[in-house]
Amino acid sequence: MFLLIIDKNVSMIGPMSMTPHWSADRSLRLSVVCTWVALVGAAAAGVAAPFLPEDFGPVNFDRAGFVRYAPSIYLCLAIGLVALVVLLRLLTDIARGEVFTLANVRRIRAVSWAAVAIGVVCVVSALALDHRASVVLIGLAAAFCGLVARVIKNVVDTARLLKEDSDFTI
Amino acid sequence: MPITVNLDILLAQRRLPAGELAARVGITPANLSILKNQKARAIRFSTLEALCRELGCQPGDLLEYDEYDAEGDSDD
Repeated sequence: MFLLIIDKNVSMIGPMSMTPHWSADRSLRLSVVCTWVALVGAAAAGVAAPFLPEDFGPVNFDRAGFVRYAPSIYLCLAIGLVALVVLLRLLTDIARGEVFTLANVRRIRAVSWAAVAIGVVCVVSALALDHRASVVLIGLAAAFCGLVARVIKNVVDTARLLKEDSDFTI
Repeated sequence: MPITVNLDILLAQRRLPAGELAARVGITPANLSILKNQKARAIRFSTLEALCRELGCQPGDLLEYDEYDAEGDSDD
């Protein structure tokens, strides 16, 4: 059991106690905020990338390397932005109480395929250009996220069928 | 679905409004409508018991198995 301080109140999170202060509603709002931050951050990174200095943080792309990878970077960025918009729509539906629906299953499937597509683009471009290990690792991480999203899609789809059965049991 | 719920026939025979039966049985009119329109996938014994009690019938009067429908049934 560990302590988490939220809004000056001390809450306990863990198997021993469900928190009185950290509700599902707040968790959902946090997810929406994180998705918006990712969306705005990704868009800003896409705009700022060509103007960043060569030794900017951990992204150690030289100018020639950036130009080589630019099509892959912007393709991944476009796919990622679409996936984030889909995630926002998913979160909007969840906030409305529509969780286990066919539309949400399709959205999670789309996010899964988007992550796999980013993985494929990263790995293929790294192998085709300069065998940069960091790009291959990013691709593999994205593909793994896609796999996790796919499993979640299977869970939600099964839950949807169970809910349908429950709704039509009188 | 080869199981047919003969609720509308029983209601007509007893001249009982669907809303009143729903209230007596303790289910919502929407759920009674699902039963009447053959959309239900399952029925609880407690609901079946309440329906039989209020309609004064046996489960066999309420539910009917159609073997010809079962042969052609493939969409469920």
